[in-house]
Amino acid sequence: MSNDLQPAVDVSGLVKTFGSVRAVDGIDLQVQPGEIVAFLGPNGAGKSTTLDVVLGFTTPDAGSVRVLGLSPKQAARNLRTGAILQAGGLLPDYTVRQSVDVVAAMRGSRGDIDAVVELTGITAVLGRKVSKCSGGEQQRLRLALTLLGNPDLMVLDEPTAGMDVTARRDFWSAIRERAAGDKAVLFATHYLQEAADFADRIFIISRGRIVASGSVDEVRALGEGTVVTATWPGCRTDDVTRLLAPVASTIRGAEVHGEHVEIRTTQPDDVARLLLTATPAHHLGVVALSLDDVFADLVDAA
Amino acid sequence: MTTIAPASTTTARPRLLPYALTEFRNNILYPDTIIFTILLPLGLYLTFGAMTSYGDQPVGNGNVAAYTMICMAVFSVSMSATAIAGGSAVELAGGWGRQMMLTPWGLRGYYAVKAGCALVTSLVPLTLIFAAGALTGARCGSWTTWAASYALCLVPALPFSLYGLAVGMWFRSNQAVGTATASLSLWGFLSNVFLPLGGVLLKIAHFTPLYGGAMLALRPLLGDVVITSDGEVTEPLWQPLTNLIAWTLLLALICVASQRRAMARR
Repeated sequence: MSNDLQPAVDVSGLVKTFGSVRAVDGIDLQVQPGEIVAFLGPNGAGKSTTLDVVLGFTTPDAGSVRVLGLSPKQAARNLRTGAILQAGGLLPDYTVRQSVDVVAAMRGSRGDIDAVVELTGITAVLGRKVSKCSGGEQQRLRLALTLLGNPDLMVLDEPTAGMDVTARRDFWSAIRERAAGDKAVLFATHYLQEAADFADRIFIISRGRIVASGSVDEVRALGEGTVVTATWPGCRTDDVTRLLAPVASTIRGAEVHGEHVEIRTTQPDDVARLLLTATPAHHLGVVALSLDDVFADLVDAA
Repeated sequence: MTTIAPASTTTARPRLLPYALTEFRNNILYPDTIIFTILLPLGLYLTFGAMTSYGDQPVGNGNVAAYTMICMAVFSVSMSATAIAGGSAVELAGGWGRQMMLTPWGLRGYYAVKAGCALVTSLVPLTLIFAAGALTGARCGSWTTWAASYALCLVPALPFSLYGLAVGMWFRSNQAVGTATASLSLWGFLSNVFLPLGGVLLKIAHFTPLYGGAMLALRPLLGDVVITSDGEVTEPLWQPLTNLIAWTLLLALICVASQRRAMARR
């Protein structure tokens, strides 16, 4: 290929406003060929808007966007991009077979039909009307339409929303099989676990800005502190503040659920020592901060 | 930037025809299409045109059967236009347009397929009704009148495709489009198409959306004459023409407003 060195997605300084709302407020985002990148953020953070720009559906108010070295519209017209769009995007009155045939014809990729149908596991429902398919079946059809023409960049907007764990795993194994080599995948999700399980790299977006990016481990490391858990009979919230006063400056938060106490701290050893000597707490545990905690921190801080 | 060859495994040329054929097939086999835009107008023509005692009474250049035939064809074409344009607005609202934007043809390809299908789907009942007319004694006088009437029956598709679009874009539901299509029965009645009106109803008819297109389609047969319940009345060309243009513009404006509303909601 002539442009192997071009990033699959290269967004810089992207701004998009709707009326007075700055949906996207200066985003930089790169996806290299061969990478699976998660775009993680709460609802309304600006994920879909950014993806719309990458796909050429909307034009940004400021900033530059290149897709495989082309403008987003050119890339789409040259069949370099494929996308699973949030909900909809299908014709309810068409059968699954008709949907695949029509999009394959329009993408000039009828040779791909058999392989794609098999890979996405829709053979059994080919004769069914789209409106009669389950949510999971419709999502597999969307994936099939995306894969037709073997695009170099796949943009997936909340691709597994509403799927159960097995379906989600099958879905991603199909994507991985197709994305092997130098294909790039950029997917939006608000499921942290999905980003952690399937992405090589994560961008966290909140209120239109990127608040963190990196590998799963790098993002996890951004969280400050460790969690000390303990069983503390008869504990009340003010007990924690009172008895742990000597290490108060290291504590980032505490939660009491009945007898179960969770204390987030930068000095787990000191907190543990104090818990064992100055309080009735026992059954101590020290665990790393969960991704959820890190994510909540990053999003709240933005 | 240099041109880059598509890097996919694709070798075939992108084609619109398979989509157009699938779309046409689904359209024409849709029960609502068969019942309401084909069988209903055809049945009405046979009942109130061909099989009546007054069917062969002279009217304009031809006879009453031809008059009824043209009225029913206009009714059918308007329903097709409303249903197809409305359906496509709902499809676009449902995100199908984005799917199309990821193909080399883009939305232009989609519009071409839809417009082509709308035309062919309208031509089916139109041709059937005219064929039935020719076989059951409708007389238009000359071949040019037959041809002109046939062609002008497509004119109401202009305001009514905008009518369907406006409803589809505003309500984004197939039920709403179905209701809009069914409302053609009301417009047919209120526009002097189902039966000759008189008095206040005829005055109102001049302001309803089907009147202009329908009366234009009847001009090759009737000339300057309009059939009313009080007999034949002369009406200058500008009257149906004004109605047609005014409704087309008004409905186009409503489409623009619906589009703005949809954008603002995003």
